[in-house]
Amino acid sequence: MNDQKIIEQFFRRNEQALIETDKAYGQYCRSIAMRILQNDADAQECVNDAYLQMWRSIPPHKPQRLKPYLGKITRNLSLHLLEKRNAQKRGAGEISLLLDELAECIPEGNTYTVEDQVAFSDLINRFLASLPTQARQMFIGRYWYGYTVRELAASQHISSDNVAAVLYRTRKKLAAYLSEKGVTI
Amino acid sequence: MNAKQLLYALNDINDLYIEDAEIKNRRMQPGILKTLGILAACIVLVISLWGIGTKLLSLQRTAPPTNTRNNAELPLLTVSEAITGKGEASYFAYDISELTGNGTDQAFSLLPVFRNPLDYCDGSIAHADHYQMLRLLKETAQRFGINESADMAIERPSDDTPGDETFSMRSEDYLIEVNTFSRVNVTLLNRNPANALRLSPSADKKELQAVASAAIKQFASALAMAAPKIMLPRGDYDVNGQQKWNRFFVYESGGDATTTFLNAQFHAVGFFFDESGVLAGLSWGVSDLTQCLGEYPLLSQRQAVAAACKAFDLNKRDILYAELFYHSENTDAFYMPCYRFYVQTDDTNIAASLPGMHTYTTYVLPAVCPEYIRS
Repeated sequence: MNDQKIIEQFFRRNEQALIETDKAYGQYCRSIAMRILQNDADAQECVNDAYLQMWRSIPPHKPQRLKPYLGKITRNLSLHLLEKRNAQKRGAGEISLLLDELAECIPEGNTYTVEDQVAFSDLINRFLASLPTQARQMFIGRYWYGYTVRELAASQHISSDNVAAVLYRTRKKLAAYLSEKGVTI
Repeated sequence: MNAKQLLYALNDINDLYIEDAEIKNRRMQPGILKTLGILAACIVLVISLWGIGTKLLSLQRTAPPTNTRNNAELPLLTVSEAITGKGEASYFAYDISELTGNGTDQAFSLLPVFRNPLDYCDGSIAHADHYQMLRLLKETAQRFGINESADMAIERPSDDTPGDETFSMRSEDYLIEVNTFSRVNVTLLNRNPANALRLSPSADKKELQAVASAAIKQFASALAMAAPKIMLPRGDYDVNGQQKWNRFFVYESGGDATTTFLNAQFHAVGFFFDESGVLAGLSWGVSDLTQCLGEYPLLSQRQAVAAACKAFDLNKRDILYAELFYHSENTDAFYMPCYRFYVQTDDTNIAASLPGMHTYTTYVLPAVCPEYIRS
């Protein structure tokens, strides 16, 4: 069943929509959640919550691309669950590595307000648009999907060292870009 | 913000980037790769030998391919039928020179193409970006010196009309509206004709220019432009052959040629007047140009004219003027540069009532080199 048909089922409040969504994107979502949470049960819980959130949001929303729409919900829920789990001291897992790397992108400055979150997303999108395709794929692969450097190297047919170098340069570029745009974080 | 918040902020990146970055195929086993490699080599060898044999037998010379894509990273573009073809509008002018000047007469060899981020479903917008609309509303209020807490009363759209929503707020002096397509309208309230900017009923181009200069000074902080430039539209003719000069645009011209052209095409602020000639408001679009696909090579004007003659069965001498512009309708999949060609198609009725008046029709072709366009 294609996206359009699945969305129609959501609009008709037909629970078959959830079954079809799971068939089409269940594995994709579990993979996103697993990379963040490193735990099968937690990942499944997040995916179920994502389906529930999607059930509540469609309608009124009518996303044209279901996959990234669902992926974003899953990733967001997974990060929240991870935060909650870390608060209970159950370990940060792989994600702590990503956080260490992303810390390099934060220019020194003042306080960044939550109200500016939307503007910040715009800036990130502009930055991503300015990157060469391969660098963008690697950056998003690493920091959105949580792929390992080795996985990225295999998918791009280059060495792990090259991937690490591209990621390093991209992080530096992002830091310089945010600084140049006057983002005070 | 710390790294954790950045990790969250990344969640809102463009859907297309997310799909593009997904690793879809698992890595194959080296043994399978080796077998496939050998198989592929055999196939290439057979095809090559067959190709050489065919060539020798036919003794035909094939011209080397021209206009091959020299930048494989640029995605192929799709062009809807609505873009290419004869324009619906006709223009009246005593001379073609009256129709020229849309922000640039400069020739470009490369211009960026942008993906339209608006999400469409069955011709109507599928998902209004309320955050963007609210942000725009607040930014506009700030530019007009409205104290958000004191004056602003945001009227939110209802949920049942997702394709046609407007956020608005009203202060004593302004009504600010932002619609789903990020179009901003600012209506000037409490206009005092005594000190308002106004045009006389018989205003000519010179008077409009003077009023435009005064408006730039009056609205300098709201425009927030370092180098504002005035663009007067083509003066519309009425049935008596008189031109009406009753609106103008201002755009930022402080950047390089491409930036200035983009500003003129996408971010020009329009000023409009009411029936009594008093300045009534401002209006502008905030096109989302974040999804740039890259800079695409363009046809030269000469190449474009030749292509138009072929596509629309025209003679070269029929095309009196060609101009570059961005086709950026709300429903376009891409915002891409196009050429607009002006062809004189005199209407005998018009010519009889207004001697010397010519009628022009237009044709449009994408300016991007055809090898970057999916056939």
